[in-house]
Amino acid sequence: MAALRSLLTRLFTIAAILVGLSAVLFGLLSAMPGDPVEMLITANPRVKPEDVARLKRLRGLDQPWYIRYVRWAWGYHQPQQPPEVHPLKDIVVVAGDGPVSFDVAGAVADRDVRLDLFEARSVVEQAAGPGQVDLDVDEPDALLEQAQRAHPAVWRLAHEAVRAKMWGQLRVEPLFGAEFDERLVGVAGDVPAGIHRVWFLVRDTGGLEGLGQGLAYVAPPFEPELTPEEAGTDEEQRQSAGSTEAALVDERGRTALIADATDAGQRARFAPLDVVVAAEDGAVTVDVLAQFSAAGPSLTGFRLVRGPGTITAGGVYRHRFAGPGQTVVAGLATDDEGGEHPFAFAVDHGPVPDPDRFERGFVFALLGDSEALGFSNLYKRPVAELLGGSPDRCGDGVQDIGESCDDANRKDGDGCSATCHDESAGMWQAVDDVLAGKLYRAGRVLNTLLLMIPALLLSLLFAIPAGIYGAVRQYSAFDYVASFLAFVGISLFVAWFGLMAMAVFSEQFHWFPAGGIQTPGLRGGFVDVVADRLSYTVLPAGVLSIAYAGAWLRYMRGAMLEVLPADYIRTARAKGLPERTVVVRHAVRNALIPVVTVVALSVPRLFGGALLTEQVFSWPGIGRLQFEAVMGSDYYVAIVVFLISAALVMVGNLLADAVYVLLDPRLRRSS
Amino acid sequence: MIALWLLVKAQRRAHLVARDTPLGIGGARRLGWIGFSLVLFSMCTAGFVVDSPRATAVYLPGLGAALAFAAAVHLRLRGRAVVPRPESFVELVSMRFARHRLARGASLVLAAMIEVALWGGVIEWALGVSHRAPDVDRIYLGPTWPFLLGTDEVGHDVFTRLLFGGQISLAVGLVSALSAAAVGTVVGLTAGYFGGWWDTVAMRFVDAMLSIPVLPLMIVFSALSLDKLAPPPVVWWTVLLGAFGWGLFSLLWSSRRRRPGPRPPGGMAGFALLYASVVFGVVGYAVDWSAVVGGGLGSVVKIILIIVLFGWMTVARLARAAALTLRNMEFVTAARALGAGHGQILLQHILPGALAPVIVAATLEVGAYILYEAALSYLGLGVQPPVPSWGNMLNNGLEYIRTAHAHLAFWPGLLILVTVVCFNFFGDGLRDALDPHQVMKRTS
Repeated sequence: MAALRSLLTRLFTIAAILVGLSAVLFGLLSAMPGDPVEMLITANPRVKPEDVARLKRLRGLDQPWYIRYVRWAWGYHQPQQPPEVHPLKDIVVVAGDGPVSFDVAGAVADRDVRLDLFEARSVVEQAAGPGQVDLDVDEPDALLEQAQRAHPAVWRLAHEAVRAKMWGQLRVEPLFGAEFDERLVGVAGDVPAGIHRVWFLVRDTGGLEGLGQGLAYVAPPFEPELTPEEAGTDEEQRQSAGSTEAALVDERGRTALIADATDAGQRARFAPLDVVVAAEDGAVTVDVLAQFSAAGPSLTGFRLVRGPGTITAGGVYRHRFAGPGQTVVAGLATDDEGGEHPFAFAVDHGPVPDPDRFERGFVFALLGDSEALGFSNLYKRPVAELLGGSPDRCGDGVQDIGESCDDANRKDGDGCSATCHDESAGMWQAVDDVLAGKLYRAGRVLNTLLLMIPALLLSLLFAIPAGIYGAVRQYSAFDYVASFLAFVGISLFVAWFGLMAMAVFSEQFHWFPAGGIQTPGLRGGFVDVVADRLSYTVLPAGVLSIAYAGAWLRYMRGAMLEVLPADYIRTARAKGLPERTVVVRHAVRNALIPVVTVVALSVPRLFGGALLTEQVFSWPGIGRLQFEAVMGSDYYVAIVVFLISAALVMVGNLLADAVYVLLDPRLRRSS
Repeated sequence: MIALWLLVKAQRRAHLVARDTPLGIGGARRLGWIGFSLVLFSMCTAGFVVDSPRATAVYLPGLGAALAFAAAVHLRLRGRAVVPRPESFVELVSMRFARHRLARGASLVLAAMIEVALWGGVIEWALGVSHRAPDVDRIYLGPTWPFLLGTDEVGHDVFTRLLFGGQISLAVGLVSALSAAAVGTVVGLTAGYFGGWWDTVAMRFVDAMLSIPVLPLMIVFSALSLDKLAPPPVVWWTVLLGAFGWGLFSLLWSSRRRRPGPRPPGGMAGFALLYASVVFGVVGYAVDWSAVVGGGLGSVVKIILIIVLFGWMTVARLARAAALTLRNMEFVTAARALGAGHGQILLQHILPGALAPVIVAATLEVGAYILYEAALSYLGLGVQPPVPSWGNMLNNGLEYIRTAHAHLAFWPGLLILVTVVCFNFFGDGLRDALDPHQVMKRTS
């Protein structure tokens, strides 16, 4: 009874602390410079101050923080957040004569993918083929040196190669008739010389979707009257093309520069549909006619190339959006001269609710409503998905890990079931696929646990035997060395140690990959995924375990030293038990009791250390998510992650006490 | 130079203690005083990083006062040395400390590091290099004369930068440990001594703070900007003048009325208020805050504040435990019966008893705080360049870890490691010396 009462008191305290903590955090975070709307706005210079005020009002950011806190926790009647129509963002174009390539990597990059110049070595080889590039690929340092300093061309090649590798994760779907080859290079073919706008859709493995448009400059054909000297070398041509490109993709003065480069008619042709239209009733309405009539000839019709909704003859595109995320709409407008004008825009929308819908707050997440955790502004994903793992991507035509087939067909019954598994394959295959997929697309929580648990086990494996042996042979050479190393372990700066380990074991010896959590674009089953992950886990887990082991070694040794002179040990020896039995069965068992508590109580420090380690090794775990969320003003993510880690810590403490009582019969009798 | 001399004397003393010769005076106490003066001196030197005449006008006398203080303490202790006091507590403690060989070595290393770091300016002048001025002609130099450890990516001399970074990092560690210990002692002692609702509130708060992960909270706080949180000067001055007036008033009031019955706010509290308001006023005026922020020291102040904010809880718990046991002792009851006020009892009877665990904890925390500073600076949130600290040097060197310039990240990390190890050894030795119970547990 007393135990139950104390348990209830503890749980009540935990709840109170969590509530207080979330309130304080909410206040603090809202006092931080830069709110989500302002961060959105900086991306778009065309947004007016009244738009900012309107967006803030829609998101409830004009309220004082305590009202926002109550809304965040309990929920509120959704004031019908309308979708926002975004202007299209240019994606950088690499121009040349012939094929036009688009650097889509920078636009929709999976944030978890580490852009690592070092990895470029193998990629350069793959991309260029042996003998094509004058590079000694077996000398990574030489490659780096060359890439960084000596030859800008190699540097660019390396960069492009890295990006090309990232393209393996991206799926690019050409719009309006452009063609892409395998390496996602737009093929201009017999396109006349000049500047062309090419549209395409990019989707990464996380399901993040973006619309890209590129200005493709196609150089005029080679003119025979030029002498080779006048034409210049290939490199010079490249550079001159590059300068045009630089002028065209200037971030701010984009339209003006296009106007400089083309005549007035061409300007109309290239004008993107970039008005921000936010309809107030949950539907988005874009007046296509008004867009085109201002600039070009009169329009006769519209055709929707891609996207939901309808286009009316009146020149209005209209749709109500449901379901969270981003939708890209692309269409073709035809004028009376038969010319076709492509237009496209991206609509950023949350779930569009019923007029009376009650948007549930964080409290409902405790009841199992994962949507109540909210939506991450930074990652454009639901927080629950971010933490718990992304679902399979079925029907995108790419056989990802965890899918035994994917033929770009979302319908069942033609080989693939709804869960992306070939029904003719056996059950084990299905299980293997599901496990591999779950692990490969693991969320932040699982990632952190997959780092912390091995580190914990590894450090206990070091610390406990060493502590026992050090205590039994007190003042021996082993004891001195182990104690000294334990002190060093306590005093280690985890980030520095991680960096040094990375420099030695992955840069120097190439034993382990330098950061990251798994090889992007991996193919294979569960065993392959586990093996791949293991090779990435060794370094960070080792570093963390060395840092933890120091403290625990000292605790273990201290506990043993306390237990060893006890009467019952003397009794056990007097009974004639072998020394081994005395130490292991009588001493260690009793000494372990306080150590278990200490291990459970140091979980907060463990989390702190994990943050730095995750940062150093680019490990997409909770700690790094928290850091990025705080820095990126992604408040809901920051608070949720904070509450999760705080709750884990406090429940850990509770469990530690429970284990303590269970292990120690003396406590049970007295209570 | 004087500090070096004091250091040599102190080490000689420690050596004497090591050979267990009877001592007249406490070597440990002297070490403590010297350490204290070194801290002051270090802060004064750190103050010189700001090139402000107003700051110099206060720091120079401050430096002189610190040195004079150290010398006076030294002389006073030497004067006392004539009277032998065998088996005194201080002697016991110093002998016990000296027995811990690693701790003795660590104290020597620490003292040497502090000393060398303090000589950073002179060394820089002697070598003719600069740790702050970029020099595009001399980037990525290897170890050559006069660049003893080479130069970094903008041509700063790495060696002198390490020295100045050491000043900042050590100052952050020491000052935050001192301040956190002070805050924790005040909260813990009052909570343990008075009990009641204050004890409940304070200790629940401490429990809550101790059970949540600290580093993410620190990140949140360091992302806040100080100037947005700081109230306008009018508020500061009002608070200061109010505290001054109230302290003066209560001091005069309590000195006039010495009658039985309910007592007005005690003289101790009044004195503390008076003292604090004067000190804060002088410091607040002397330091040209815009220059501090402009010179980058604002981030140092901020990080100290943040560390203190999250660091005082352990000390508070220890102090409360000590106060709980001491407040029911006979000598406290006797003092109360003799008419001593709460302030006097707390200061004269309870604080000394609580001091040993507090000192040990504070020493051990120095290392942890240096690590916190390094962690925050590593994340780009701590001490901001151009002010160097080991943490932000590490953050800087990070980019070059894959290149031939990996040593840029190696040195600051190594120094952090050595310093923190030494502080931990030092604290361990202090614990052995000050806390006999612990010793028995450890060695029996």
